Amino acid sequence: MDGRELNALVQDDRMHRRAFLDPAVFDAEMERVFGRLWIYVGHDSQVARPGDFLTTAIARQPVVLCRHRDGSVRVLFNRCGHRGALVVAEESGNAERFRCGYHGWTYHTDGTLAGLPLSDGYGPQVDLADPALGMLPVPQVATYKGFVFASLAPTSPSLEDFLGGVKTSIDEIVDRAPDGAVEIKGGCHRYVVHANWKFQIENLCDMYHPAFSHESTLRADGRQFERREGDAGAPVRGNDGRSLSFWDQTGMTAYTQGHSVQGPMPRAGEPDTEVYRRYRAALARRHGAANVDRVLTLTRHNTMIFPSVAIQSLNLHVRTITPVAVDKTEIRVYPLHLRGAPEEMSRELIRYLNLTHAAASFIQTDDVEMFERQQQGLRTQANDWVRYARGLGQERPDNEGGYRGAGTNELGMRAQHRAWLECMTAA
Amino acid sequence: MTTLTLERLRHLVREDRVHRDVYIDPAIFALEMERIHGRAWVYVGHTSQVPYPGDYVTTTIGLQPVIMSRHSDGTVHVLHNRCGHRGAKVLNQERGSAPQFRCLYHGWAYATDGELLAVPLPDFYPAGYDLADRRLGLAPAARVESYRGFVFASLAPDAVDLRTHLGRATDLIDELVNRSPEGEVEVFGGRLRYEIRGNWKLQAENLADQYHVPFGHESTASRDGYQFQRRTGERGARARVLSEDGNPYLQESGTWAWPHGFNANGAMHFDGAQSGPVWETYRASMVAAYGANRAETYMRVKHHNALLYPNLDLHMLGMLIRVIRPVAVDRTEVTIYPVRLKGAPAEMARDVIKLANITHSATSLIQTDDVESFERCQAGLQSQGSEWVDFVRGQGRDADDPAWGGRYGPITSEIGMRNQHRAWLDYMGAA
Repeated sequence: MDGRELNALVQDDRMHRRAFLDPAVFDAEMERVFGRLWIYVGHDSQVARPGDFLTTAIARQPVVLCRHRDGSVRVLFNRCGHRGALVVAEESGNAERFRCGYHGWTYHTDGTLAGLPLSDGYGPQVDLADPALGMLPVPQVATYKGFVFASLAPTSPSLEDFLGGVKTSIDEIVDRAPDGAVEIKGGCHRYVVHANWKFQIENLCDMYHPAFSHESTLRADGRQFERREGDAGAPVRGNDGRSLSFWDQTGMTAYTQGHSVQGPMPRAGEPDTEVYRRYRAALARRHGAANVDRVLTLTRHNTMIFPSVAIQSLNLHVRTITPVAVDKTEIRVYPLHLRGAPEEMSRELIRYLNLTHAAASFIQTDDVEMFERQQQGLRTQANDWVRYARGLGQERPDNEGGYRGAGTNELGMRAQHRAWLECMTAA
Repeated sequence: MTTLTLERLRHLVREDRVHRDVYIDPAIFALEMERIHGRAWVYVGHTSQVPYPGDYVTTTIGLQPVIMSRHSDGTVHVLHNRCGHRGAKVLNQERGSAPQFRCLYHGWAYATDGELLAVPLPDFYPAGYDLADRRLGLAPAARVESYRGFVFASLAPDAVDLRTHLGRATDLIDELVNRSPEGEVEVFGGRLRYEIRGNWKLQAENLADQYHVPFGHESTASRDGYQFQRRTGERGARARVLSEDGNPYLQESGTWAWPHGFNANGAMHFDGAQSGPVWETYRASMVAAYGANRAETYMRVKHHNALLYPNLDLHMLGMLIRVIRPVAVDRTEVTIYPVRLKGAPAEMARDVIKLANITHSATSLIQTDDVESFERCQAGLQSQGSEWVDFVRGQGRDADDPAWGGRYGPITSEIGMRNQHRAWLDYMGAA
């Protein structure tokens, strides 16, 4: 796909339906977007001990995130140096070495070939120490406060430069942990959506849809669940008969890298429970009593780090977006626990995510339904364009490298599309 | 993958044979969706399915989701089922009724003729951005026309008008509709639906296939195959498929073929005539409506079924409308809608449903045989052992039929399938 063809797919206020339907566009995305940018792989707490591993994919290519015995975190292509089989087939686990099921070749957790059965069958002309017979490392790996990213590109701007204005989203969450670190433990919610990956990342900077898509939960009588420890089944305020423009007040910030941050949703009051008081006391020990209110004041609801991961600050979780095919996407939702916070809060978080983001939940299922309807609706030929005009031209630069607009504005999506086009047309 | 040049298409589809790629290659399927279903007059539904303003049914033209709706002014519309905003499918029920159509995602609402009625929070759109722009509405299908309640749409703006396109095939629709004392049919009750792991053309070809009956349906069509009562007034009448000497009775019948891939199969022969009080009531109302001669003509089943290529089949004997919806190169959805004759006794409508349950439900005695054959074809055609599917039966024995205005192939000729393949090449631009 050449630049002219790609440029024709994106305009300021719209994207051509072909960007969501054409396998050729998808192939190019895998090469130029997921194949070049920093892609979130996992959190280092998921591979806490040497030999711990986690499998995922970057641009359809299977990779293993693992902890080597020297304590370093590695990201390896999950592919046997011999006949190319996937070496690690489990989603996560611990292994001293990785062993390919086909012919028993084994690898150290840094990817080097540890041994192969019946090695005397190879003559002297075969160099079994050749690194290419190992599980090769992904070209670049970098970590920010425990969040591990990898890039298939040999060189690129640093991870911190790539994150730019959304680094503070991670900073704020980590500050809320009394021990100064967050961790992922336990399982995850996983689902495969029959829809293009961009529908999910667009939805993660869309405050225009909740009042409609999530009406069953959000309307005035929609008290379906408690949101957080200490909430008395509080509804999201703003939908109780007042103007829907409540959603605008949350605000939205977008960045040139394609990232975006949604402002915080107003809450129904601070919880006043024994657990929450214990949590505040633990935070006071870390930050000083005077700073606890500031640390607990959410300045954002959700952060979308283009193109692969979202971090939700309100109900702490990491959501990964893994493209599988032009019309198929795997989404995983990992609860994010605050180290040093009361155990009860972790349990509440899991319970809450069961209600909002499980396969049979009240919120994410609404969204998944919409993604699949988009994938089907865009098959129609009468209308080639998907529209993102809301708030066009009204965004204003903030002082931190971002552009701000009202919450229901589609500026986050427009930023994604500009970043997308830049990747797709880069030399 | 080989490029699909016109030469390539002509190589794949011959007069007497079709290459297996035509049934298994996703690239050919994609081209079919563009050039056949994307251009032809495709049956969308029957006006009786949307009797009142706000009524709608959803279906597809090719792979594209569409809505057939009744607008507040009484007109029937066929609309692309796609929100003008982010492209979501707006209506997701198979059928229903709504004063306006509202997209779930951001609440954009449309009138039943597709016009954009309301955008929540319309502020924030840039100056000069026209929310009344017709392109933000549910776009209408390029062409929509109907014949005796049968609504067709074409996505090609330059399609010839429906009547011209149908030609003598209107006789086939008339044959069904004229059996009503009031000259109207209605789709009623529910529908039978199944998804087949086979290419859509396997179903279309089967609807021009008189050759398979004694074999594909042997359990029903063999001499001891009295499995069910077929029609009102019959007592378990046997379809006379095989005669005493073992030759198929169907040799007395044949298949007609018309332009654009349309075909019809001759009527089956039965032991015993229809009789009884319900039948006599019906006959009386037909005679009252049309006079004895025309009533006699109208009541006689002249064709077993008629395929209006590419997606509509009229089952004259069973009083069913069958719709073929391609889903993927190896997946097809078939839906069967029972039809009621307006003005005929209610018992006859019940018999239609009863027969459809026996012949065309997911656990029936007839259609399940065919579905099994389609899936065996799709599986068998994966084999590279032979490249060709054969359609030579009866070739060279076609003749013009002045009575019906088409070509007629006697006995169990495969003329109907060859006719479909000619239409295929024509639509694909390779004729």
